[in-house]
Amino acid sequence: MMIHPSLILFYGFLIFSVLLVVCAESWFMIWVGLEMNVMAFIPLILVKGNKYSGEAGVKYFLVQAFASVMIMSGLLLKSCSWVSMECLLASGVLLKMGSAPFHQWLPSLVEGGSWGCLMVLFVVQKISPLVALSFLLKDGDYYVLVYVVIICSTLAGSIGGLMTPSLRKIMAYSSISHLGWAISSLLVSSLTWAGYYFIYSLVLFSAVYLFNKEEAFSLNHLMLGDKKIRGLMSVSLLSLGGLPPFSGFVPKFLVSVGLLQCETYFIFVVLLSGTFLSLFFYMRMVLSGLLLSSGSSSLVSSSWGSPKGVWFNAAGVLMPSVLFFAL
Amino acid sequence: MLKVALSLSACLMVLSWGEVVACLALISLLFLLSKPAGLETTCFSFELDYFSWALIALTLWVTTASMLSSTKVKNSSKSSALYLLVLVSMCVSLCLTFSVSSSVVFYILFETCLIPILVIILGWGYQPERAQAGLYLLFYTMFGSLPLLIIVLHCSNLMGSSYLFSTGASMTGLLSALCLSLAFLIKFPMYGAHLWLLKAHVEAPVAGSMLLAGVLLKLGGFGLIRMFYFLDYNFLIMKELAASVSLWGGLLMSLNCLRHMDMKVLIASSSVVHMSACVIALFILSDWSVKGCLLMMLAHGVCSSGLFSLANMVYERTNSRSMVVAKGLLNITPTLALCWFLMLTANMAAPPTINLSSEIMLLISLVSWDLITIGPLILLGFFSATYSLYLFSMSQHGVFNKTKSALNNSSLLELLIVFVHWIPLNALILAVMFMF
Repeated sequence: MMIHPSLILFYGFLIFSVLLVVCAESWFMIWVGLEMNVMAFIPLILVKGNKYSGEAGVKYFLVQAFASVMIMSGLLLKSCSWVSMECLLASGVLLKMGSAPFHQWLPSLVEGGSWGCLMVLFVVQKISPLVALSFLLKDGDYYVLVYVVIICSTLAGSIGGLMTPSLRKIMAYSSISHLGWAISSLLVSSLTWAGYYFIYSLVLFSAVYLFNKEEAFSLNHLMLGDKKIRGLMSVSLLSLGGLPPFSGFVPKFLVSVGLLQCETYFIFVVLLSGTFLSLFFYMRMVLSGLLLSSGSSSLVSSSWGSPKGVWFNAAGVLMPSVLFFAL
Repeated sequence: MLKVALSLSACLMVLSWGEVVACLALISLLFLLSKPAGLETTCFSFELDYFSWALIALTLWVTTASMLSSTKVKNSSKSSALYLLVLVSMCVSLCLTFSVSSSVVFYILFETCLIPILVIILGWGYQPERAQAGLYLLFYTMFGSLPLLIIVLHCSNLMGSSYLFSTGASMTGLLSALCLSLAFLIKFPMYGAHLWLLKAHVEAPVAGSMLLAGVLLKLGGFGLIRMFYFLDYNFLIMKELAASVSLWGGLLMSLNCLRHMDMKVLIASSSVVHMSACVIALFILSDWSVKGCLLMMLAHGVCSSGLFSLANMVYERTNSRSMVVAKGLLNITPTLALCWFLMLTANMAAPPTINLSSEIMLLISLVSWDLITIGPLILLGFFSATYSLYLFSMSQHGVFNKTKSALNNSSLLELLIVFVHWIPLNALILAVMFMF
């Protein structure tokens, strides 16, 4: 496929806007960065050019514009020290990243995107709001709101994923429930968050890469395709679920050690039970990949395809935990 | 320990049946020659005491036997290299779990052992119901292990290190005792948390069942012994709760065994009965009860793995686990009938076996803990002999169901497998004197 030159522009803009937010020293610059982020991402949704992606683009624009309004008005009202308005800013940021009480737009939007676009949505688009939230947490006024958001995200993500057969929606819910972990890692320290987010995105990539390769968009699609790739996919999914030997456990372990050192037991228990619940839908995907196999179906004779990418994937799933044991 | 792990990993490189079995047999011989004197540091963060030493020996032994008895997978070449890989990786992770000395790494490895057995059940199981069995296995164990993660991290936070053998931390209270022991009680399994075991055994292929009954259940006992270092021993409520539930549960399970027609379910339930005695003994935590428990775990590990391989031999001949179909085998395969008899007498603790000596030790420690346990224990002993006899007579006696056209008698390999199980059971009685 030829890469349209405008794509390079938009991806460049996307990365630049994230960097802008990370390096910003005023809330105004953060707002500018977030707006640029939205404007760069919408064309990336629209790449496919069918009506679903159009709908997704419009939804994304409306939600993000509303969140920006909330952030802007929160900023302006902050100066008049009106206490209940302080939450407006935080809610805007939380709406932008799609955390739980404000999460409904995310699963309804994902049906329009390709896996590449969704990967950007789940990983890159959440960096800048999370960084903005970490600035907010420095003041320490928002702990109650953040606790509620963590609990809601974990539970809503892990329960929501049980109810849908669409892989994209399941991954959206899984990203919501991981957002609970990400926000609680912000409570520990920014470094923990960075570690968590980096390894989590690697693990997520390893799963999404295989979905993209197999062109799987619903649970039934997992039954088709190459047997070895399905096996590898189940490993990636268990890793995403956070089972100990796989690398998905490493970020969770980092966060749990940090949370226990901060003595935030309640959040930790909620997070763990959320993980337990979300393991159900990961297992559902694993089982439909491994068990309901139709033998030598492979309509798309993918074979090993590009072994380099697949082995990179396997290494990504197992290597971090090997390093972790070595420490 | 590192040597064992490395040489086991060398097996991974070969991945051909004969070589791997020979390697494993050699490793287990070399390992048996290296008995530790006390708590022995083998290398960085791995330590062995007599408990873990015995369990590692058991792991190596049972893994070897399980590879020998799954020739069906080898011959049908249903991704047999992958099967070997999974078995060896399970063996490696079990050996590491038994010898590691940091509680956090112990937790991680304890969970790691779950993955290979899950893969074995899901990948090489008999029926579509294996999905359910796999889910039961995963979620029962994860349910117990999440509280364990909390308490392990909390303890290492309190102590400042995650060293397993330090007696520094003293958690008190029912909740922390429950968190510490729940994962292991589910793994054991205590009565009430045993449903996953029956399902997993029914669906697992023979090597899966042998390893599950032979070694994986012993992880529960091992973990309890290790985690008791973290507990202040004032958790009387927990102790009596666990002891009484598993005492009466064991009795119920032994009664329950008498109504099963499925051989594998019967053997699996009998392991719940045996393990219930181990649970009580571990919670009593006297010198004799711990040693008796270790001996019982060894005896039961070898014995139940032998019974599962026998059940598989019957399954390969009659294509059924049900004793309605597989009956009257005495006429058809008389040598296997002798093997059944020998293994089942071991299972009901007949004289020269270590099952007997372990039961004596357990009975003495239980009765000396509380006289009132005598009543249920008498019934328990009686019914566990009864279901062994029941299994023998239902499968061997009677008229053979003449639906099958041809049956072969036992092969040399099958006799080897049975005697690999039977000889240690009877020979180890000579080693019992070293327990005191």
